[in-house]
Amino acid sequence: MKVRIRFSKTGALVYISHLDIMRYFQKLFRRCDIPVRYSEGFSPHQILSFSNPLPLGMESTGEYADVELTEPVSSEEALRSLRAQTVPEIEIMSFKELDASSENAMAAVKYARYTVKTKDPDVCDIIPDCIRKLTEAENVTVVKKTKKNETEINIRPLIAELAFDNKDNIINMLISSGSTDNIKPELVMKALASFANMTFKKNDLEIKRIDQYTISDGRIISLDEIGTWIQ
Amino acid sequence: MNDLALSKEILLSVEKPARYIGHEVNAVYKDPDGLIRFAMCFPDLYEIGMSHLGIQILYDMLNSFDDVWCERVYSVWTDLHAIMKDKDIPLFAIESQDNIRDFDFLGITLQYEMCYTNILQILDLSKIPFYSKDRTDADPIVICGGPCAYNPEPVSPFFDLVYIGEGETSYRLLLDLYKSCRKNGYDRSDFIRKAGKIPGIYAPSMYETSYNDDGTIKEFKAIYDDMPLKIEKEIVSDLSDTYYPLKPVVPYIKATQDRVVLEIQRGCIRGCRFCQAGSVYKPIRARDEKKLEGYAREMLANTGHEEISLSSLSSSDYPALEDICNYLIDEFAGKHINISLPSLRVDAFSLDVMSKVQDIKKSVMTFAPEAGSQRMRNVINKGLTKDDILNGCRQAFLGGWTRVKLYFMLGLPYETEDDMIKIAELSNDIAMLYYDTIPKQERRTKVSIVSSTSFFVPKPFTPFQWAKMNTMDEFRYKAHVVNEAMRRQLNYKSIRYNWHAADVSVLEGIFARGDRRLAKVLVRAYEKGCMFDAWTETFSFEPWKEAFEECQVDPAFYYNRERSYDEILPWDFIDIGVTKKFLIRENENAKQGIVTPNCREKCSGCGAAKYHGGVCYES
Repeated sequence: MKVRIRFSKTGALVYISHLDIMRYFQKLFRRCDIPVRYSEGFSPHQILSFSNPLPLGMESTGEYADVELTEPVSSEEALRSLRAQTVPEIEIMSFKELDASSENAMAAVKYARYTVKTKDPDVCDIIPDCIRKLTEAENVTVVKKTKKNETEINIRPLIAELAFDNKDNIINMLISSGSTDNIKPELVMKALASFANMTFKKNDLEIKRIDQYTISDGRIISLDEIGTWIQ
Repeated sequence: MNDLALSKEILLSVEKPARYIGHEVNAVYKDPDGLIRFAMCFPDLYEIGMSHLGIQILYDMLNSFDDVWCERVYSVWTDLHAIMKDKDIPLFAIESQDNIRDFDFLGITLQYEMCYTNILQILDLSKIPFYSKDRTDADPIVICGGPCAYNPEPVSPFFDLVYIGEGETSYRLLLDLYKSCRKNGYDRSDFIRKAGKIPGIYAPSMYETSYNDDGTIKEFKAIYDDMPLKIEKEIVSDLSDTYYPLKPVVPYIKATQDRVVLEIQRGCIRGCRFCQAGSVYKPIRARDEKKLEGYAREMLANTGHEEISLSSLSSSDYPALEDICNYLIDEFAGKHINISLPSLRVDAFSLDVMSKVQDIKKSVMTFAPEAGSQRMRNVINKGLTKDDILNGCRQAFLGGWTRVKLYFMLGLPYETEDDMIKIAELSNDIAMLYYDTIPKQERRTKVSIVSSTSFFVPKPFTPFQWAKMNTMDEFRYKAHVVNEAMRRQLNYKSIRYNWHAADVSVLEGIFARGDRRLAKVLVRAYEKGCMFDAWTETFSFEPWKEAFEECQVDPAFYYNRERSYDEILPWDFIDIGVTKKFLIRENENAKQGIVTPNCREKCSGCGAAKYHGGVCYES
């Protein structure tokens, strides 16, 4: 049985790396006696994979782990024991069965939603105007830095939603994510700032990943909606 | 949850920020109101400190007391050290993230001499004065313990109290005394003086040492008449009935020991004459096997670790070894839990067990003959003959092993050039044995022998505590002799030879048998930037050399000098049970290569029987 788990990562745990989160889940499953399937061979390991790694320092309420089980466990029972054993900063939000044919979380991710909070009041004043300009533009070219080189890309088609909540001063964006057209929320912020001829200081922005999405029948839906509740 | 002591900007700029944030599974959080705050420190990196069973036991014990909250603190790596110094950020405990200086106690474990400068880093970053005499009521009581506390003198000016022996027994008394002193108008020096009368607790500031013209100790005496002149080590007489950490903290980052550790016994029956642990932990005491089975189940369930390891100085001497091994294999081997069995003597039983729990193709068979010649093994009382080693290797080869690791020491007392050459010859004999034992058509691969030598460091409370340690040049010459001898061996292509750095060994030797006059050298070395001296990437000998010169302390006096039996040694005020008379007798036996039987074969009257426990009372 293939299972998808949605979890959050908040508070002090944002300093735990992706690799260590994998180790955390391996030990969590053993503490809970979840019947995880192990690979064959002399050094067997749990058949476990994760969605797009979260950068160090970022909070998220939409992280996913896919794991294979040797026998079925009900969602209710699994959630009860996982929640009893996990630390408060990693909340286990759901535990659902996946079709044997479904893509794993990493391959399925096409979009991610982020919120960006800024502490600078001057920035808040100009943001709505910048968002309007960006949304109206057909071409928004930014320089994307990779490990090897810099390339210019048009990020406009990669932004599905972009809005500003002036009550809480939060920018909300739904942007391309995953193995093909991945862009970072920082890049969108850079583009936004360029419409006001300014730059943001990295540490003034509080970015949070809200959820990750895939495309099903032409619709953008949460990875959480793919699985089904196990009775 | 508390906010973190370090900003996001800082945490994201240092290596492995997870070292400093706490919040691990099984970490203990309490409401601090009205509690005694205890900061327990392992003065090295988090990954090292988190792997230490002793700290886990004490953390568990202290937190089992309702009136105490024990938290952890570790050395901060050089990257964060620079930031904390630059931005004037005080050192904090991992759980509450509160400043160490605001704690009631700061406990520091002394596991090896090369962490002594790290103690100063902890004090420095905590803004606690280095020297006990400079502290006020605003500072915590700084206490140390652990194996190096058996000669605390080089660091004793930094500590208000020193706990000598096993930590399970006297802490409750100390905490009760602290509470009563706190109630009645706290006076720091009054508390320290009273604490110095608790069994196993030494208050260095209540004693003074005077010296002869030649630098040796003239007298060690108490400042007050009511202070004890001998401090007797504390031990747990019944190990089956004491604290055990059934819910150890599970680190997020990979610790050096990322596994459940099951201490099956404490102490050792073998009287190896170079070994301090064998002496200070006497007598050997075993834990009840049935209890250990329960511990193993609970600890695996509470941590989710995928490996369990037995811990002891010599597992093969544990009376119920077969039972515990069989239990672990039957119960856990099918549940994807690795079983690791270090310090096993190689025999039919252990080979059978190991073949069940390891991949023979990948695993390495380890032997510690410690010396190359039989004569030298008799000198050090390593009760292992060449036949034992060759038989063990033959069985291992027949069982499918092809890789052998051998550990030796160079610079042992009464060593000759022939003893050194025999290290190479023994390595060659083992390689030869492989080719004689395994027919050509059955050989999967070449045999691989890795021989390593470390340099012998004489330690307090061993029969070699009076010995002259070699100089760096002598050590390097001896390693050269072995290396040359290796090249002459027929099978030298199957043998790899490694030797340790001589400079670190010499420093270890100086501090192992040092006295109070070395404290200022440590402070000077720290001021010159020495830290993490146990790490090759951070160790540098040059500043140490300067520190000794500037403090006008001659290192040779401490390491490169033979002591006479009547010299007062800096650690003579400590009573470990094992008597000086016994140690002298053992040193004389060493000179003549006379082997002393182990504790189960025959009692040699070392003195540890006064603890009324363990092997001394097995019938």
